[in-house]
Amino acid sequence: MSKHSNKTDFLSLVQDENFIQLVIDAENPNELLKELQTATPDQSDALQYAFEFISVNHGNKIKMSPEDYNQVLSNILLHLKKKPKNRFYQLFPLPLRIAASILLILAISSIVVYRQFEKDPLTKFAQIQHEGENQALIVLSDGTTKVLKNNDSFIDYSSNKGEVVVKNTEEEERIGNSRNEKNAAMNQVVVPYGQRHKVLLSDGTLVQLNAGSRLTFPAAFSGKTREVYLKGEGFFEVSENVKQPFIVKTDHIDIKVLGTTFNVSAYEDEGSVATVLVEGKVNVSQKDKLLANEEFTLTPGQGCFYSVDAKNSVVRNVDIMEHVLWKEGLFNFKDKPLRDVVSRVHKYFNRPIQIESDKLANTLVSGKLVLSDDLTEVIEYLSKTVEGKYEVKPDGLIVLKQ
Amino acid sequence: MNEKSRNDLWVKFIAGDNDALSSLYKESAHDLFSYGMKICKNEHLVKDCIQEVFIQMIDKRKNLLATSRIHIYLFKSLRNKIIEVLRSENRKQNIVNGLTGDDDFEPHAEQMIINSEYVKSVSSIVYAAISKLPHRQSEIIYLKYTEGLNYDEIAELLQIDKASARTLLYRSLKTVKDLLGKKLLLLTVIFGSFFPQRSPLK
Repeated sequence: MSKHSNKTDFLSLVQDENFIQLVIDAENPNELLKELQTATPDQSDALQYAFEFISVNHGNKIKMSPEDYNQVLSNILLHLKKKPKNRFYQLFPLPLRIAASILLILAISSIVVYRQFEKDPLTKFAQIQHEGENQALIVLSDGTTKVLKNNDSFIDYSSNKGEVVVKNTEEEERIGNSRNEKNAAMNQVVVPYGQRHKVLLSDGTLVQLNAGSRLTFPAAFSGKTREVYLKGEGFFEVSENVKQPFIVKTDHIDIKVLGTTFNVSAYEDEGSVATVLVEGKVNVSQKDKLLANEEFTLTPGQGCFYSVDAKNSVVRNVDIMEHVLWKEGLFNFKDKPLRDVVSRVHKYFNRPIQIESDKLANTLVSGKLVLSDDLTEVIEYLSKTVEGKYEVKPDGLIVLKQ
Repeated sequence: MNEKSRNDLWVKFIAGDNDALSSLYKESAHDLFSYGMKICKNEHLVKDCIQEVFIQMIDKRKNLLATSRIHIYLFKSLRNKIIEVLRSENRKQNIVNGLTGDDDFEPHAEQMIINSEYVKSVSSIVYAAISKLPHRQSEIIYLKYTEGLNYDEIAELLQIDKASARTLLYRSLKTVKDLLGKKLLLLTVIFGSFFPQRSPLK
């Protein structure tokens, strides 16, 4: 056999689909090869090489390591999860997608609008801190603030002329204020330490705000309820309107009333919220849980005391005067820790007071303070009550000592 | 997995079926890896490129078309991806040139055989010969004899026409034969006593 024909034979064998298939399908390759070599001994070598060439190539696949295989698979699955919208793209034609997108945008924006302006604008607005809160302020519907120059002002929102009237013993001032019920613009009265103010709301409800308090409310009430947000302490005389219950919201509890008189003390630094009912009926509901919050109904002379730490409320009979005399400029306290009394005095007089020891701070005290008195007299009175003394530091800090 | 069920998976995937894509991966991963390793010996690079191919399919799902040869589509995507990465890395330029440039290869067969340790059996001689092929030739031999693709599929995958595919394969096979012939000559000299009845390919 010529050299040339031999060469052709290897090449023609490996290009022969039947031969390829024969080699690949062979159950016993060695026997097949021997058989073929015996049949064509001249082509023995060409056969062997073609045979080996095909089987070596056929088994030449390599596999990925299981680690790599799984890693790539999980990365792909992860990426699939990131792109759920692709399914949406494929299943709906373009006009439908556009329509759906518009609907979606409308739905989302209405939820956002609803949450921001309809459902609880109050809570949101109540959390905003305004500049200059160490002075008495009114935050008006348009967001501008008005500083109250005098203590014990009467802020009247009951005018129908779209204005706020601020009265005190010396003067009367009228401030223009939008009463657009549709946007239900929020107003706020900020009472700094050392002051007290009264607010007459648009529905005729009178709120007396104690030192260090903030009341947030709409210029005019709309909707099914009249809602206000209180931080600090307020004495409420709610005008009766059965169709539109009045709700006082605080950070921890909500108080729902129809028409009644009560006091709410919800100072952030006191760790408890006290609701004391003077007349009528109120419902106090906790809001530490998402659902099924506890609710308490108070009768006159009862107080509901919510503990922020324990997240529970205790209802008991109280001495009303102890809780409401502050609005007459009196501070009445009975078996209260000196710490709490001093905390109040600090709010009323806006002067830092320190108690030297924990033991002294925990001493229970009873008594009555006249808040219009000079601070020195109040401190003297307090130190006498605990049989101690006091010192005024050069920077104005008052220290009560044993 | 046959071509039809692969294509069914592909159609389902385009229609939004995510499970179809993971099935497609499971069916193709090892084949893709094996082919990728033929183009580039870097295991990590090939693995990353396979992942990239599937991720791009997800990203471009809405633009993908139903294709009759999803297997080839995947191979082609992987090939393009690997070449792209190698190009951008710019450090394996010679491999890229081997894959895409002209194929004027002159094997230094004798040197290879002398350096080769695979002279103990015929199959190892064949294996050594294949592994000494230039990239483009070894690739087409892999596609034809390992993957079992036909000329149409090879042409589509390598983005050349069918006649060029035939020519390339023929040239590659000729290189193999030459390598084997030279090897066998040498083998006969060294191991003549083991193959007394045989003559080398002439």
